[in-house]
Amino acid sequence: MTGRAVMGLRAAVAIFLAVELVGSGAAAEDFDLASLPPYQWEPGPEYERGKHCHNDGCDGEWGVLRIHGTELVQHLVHLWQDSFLKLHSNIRFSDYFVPSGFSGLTAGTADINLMGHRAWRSDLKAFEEVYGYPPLEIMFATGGFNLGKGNTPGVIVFVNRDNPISGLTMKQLDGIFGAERTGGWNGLTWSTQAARGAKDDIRTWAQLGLTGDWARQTIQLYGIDATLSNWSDLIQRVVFHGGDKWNPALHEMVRGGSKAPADAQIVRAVAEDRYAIGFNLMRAVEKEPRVKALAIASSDRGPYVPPTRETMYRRTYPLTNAVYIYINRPPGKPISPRVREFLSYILSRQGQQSVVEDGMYLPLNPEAAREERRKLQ
Amino acid sequence: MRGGLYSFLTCFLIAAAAGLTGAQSPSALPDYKPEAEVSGVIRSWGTPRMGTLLKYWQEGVRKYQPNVWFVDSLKGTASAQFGLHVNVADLALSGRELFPYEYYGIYRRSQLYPVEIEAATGSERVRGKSTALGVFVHKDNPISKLTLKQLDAIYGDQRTGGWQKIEWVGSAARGAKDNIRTWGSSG
Repeated sequence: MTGRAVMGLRAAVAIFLAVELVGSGAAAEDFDLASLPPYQWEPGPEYERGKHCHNDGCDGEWGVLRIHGTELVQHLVHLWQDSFLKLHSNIRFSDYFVPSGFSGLTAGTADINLMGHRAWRSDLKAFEEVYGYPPLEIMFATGGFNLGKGNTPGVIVFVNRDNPISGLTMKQLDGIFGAERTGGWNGLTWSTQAARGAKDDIRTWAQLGLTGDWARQTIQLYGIDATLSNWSDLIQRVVFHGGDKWNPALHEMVRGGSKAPADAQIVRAVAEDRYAIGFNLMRAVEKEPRVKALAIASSDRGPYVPPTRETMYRRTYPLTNAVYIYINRPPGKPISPRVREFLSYILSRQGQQSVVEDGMYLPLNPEAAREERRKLQ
Repeated sequence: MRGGLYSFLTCFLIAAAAGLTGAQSPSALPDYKPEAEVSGVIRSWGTPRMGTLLKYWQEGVRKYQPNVWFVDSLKGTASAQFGLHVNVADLALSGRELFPYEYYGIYRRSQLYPVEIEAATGSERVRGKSTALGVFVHKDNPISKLTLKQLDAIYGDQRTGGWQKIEWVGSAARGAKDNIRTWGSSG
């Protein structure tokens, strides 16, 4: 393809997106979709041309794709399916939208399982006890930032507006929210490398270098409960290195099982307590002028990365979230062609364009998408 | 994880309470009497550690219900409930109570609560058979007993609530002042 043709194609994509995205709240120019390769069907060596024809359409994969996943992805999956069917007219879909498709994947009644959070350890254990190997995990989008219908949002750590601190390192977050521990989980493996002692605890603002009246104050912590949520799981994985021991002083404000969200309560608690710190989602944090979101640094040397749509899209903000697809791929065996093609579509420019259109998650950036596409080989 | 600790205590409670009736002879239980003749296949998923027992039950029930057949796929407790979700199993054999988030998951999936039936008391000492937990100390330690409240104080910490099934219960809260961290404070 010539350079001019590439530019022309990119411009066409940009115009198309601009039309598509009106009213969805996210602008196409927020994301570098043009750098994602467009979907292209590449029939494998096993493909027999002309074997399966329907309504004069002979090209494309054939068979039934059984898709299980959280009801929250229903709209997005339908967008993908409608476009995919135009390219592969002999594919049929069998959908079952319920939270956690791990049951279907484990029982062998689903080919593709879409999750609004990363698999819990018990999900992985169930799959492994049946098959003897782990499922293949593919990140299909980045968690939401601040849109109204967004989901699986990244974690925002925030303090009272009066607090002089503007950023924290991951190690400091571990010191504040974590506790001494003898190890941590990495998938199904317990590793003592994640251990840390009580001397790394950070319990007062003086330990973070604050002076004056701050120095004498204990850090008050607010957040959702440390057992049932995607956020606590994310914090345990990336901040506690797989450990699951929390600072017991955390005021757990629970979303009430399936009832009222505690988000506003958590944000208000920090707004009304000068010596508090909390975690929640941007949509709730940005509504409250008496609190401020902190920048987070992965390493003690920095850089401190503020939580923005851009840093989450680039996945440079350390507490960025993600949503995942799981499939049953025996080690060393190829993925069935129809599953491979559908996943390859999801990770393509068109597939990620639908992620933006759907508005619930952020699309994958080109590097992340490339990394995930590699797993399909 | 608090959830882990919480279920740990719950399991202990069940095992301890059931232990009292454990001394009773099974002959005190009423005999099985078929209420109706039934037929069909019963599919079981769950822990292979209950596999032998399941066979006994199946052979026993077939004396009364000769038209009932069984298909078992026992791979583990973690996968037990998954068979129910996608309707490839009728029974899930679990070596433990459901975790709160599993219970929550089932409710969110099906809009129904799972029915949990206690099938037997966990083993006293056979490893891996839902064994009751023993709490132990060094033999030189003069302590010979503890209350559940003291165990909570020793192993637990301050908390703002706890999960009971899928309800967050504020009355499970306790402050740091109830912590026991030295042998002096347990008397």
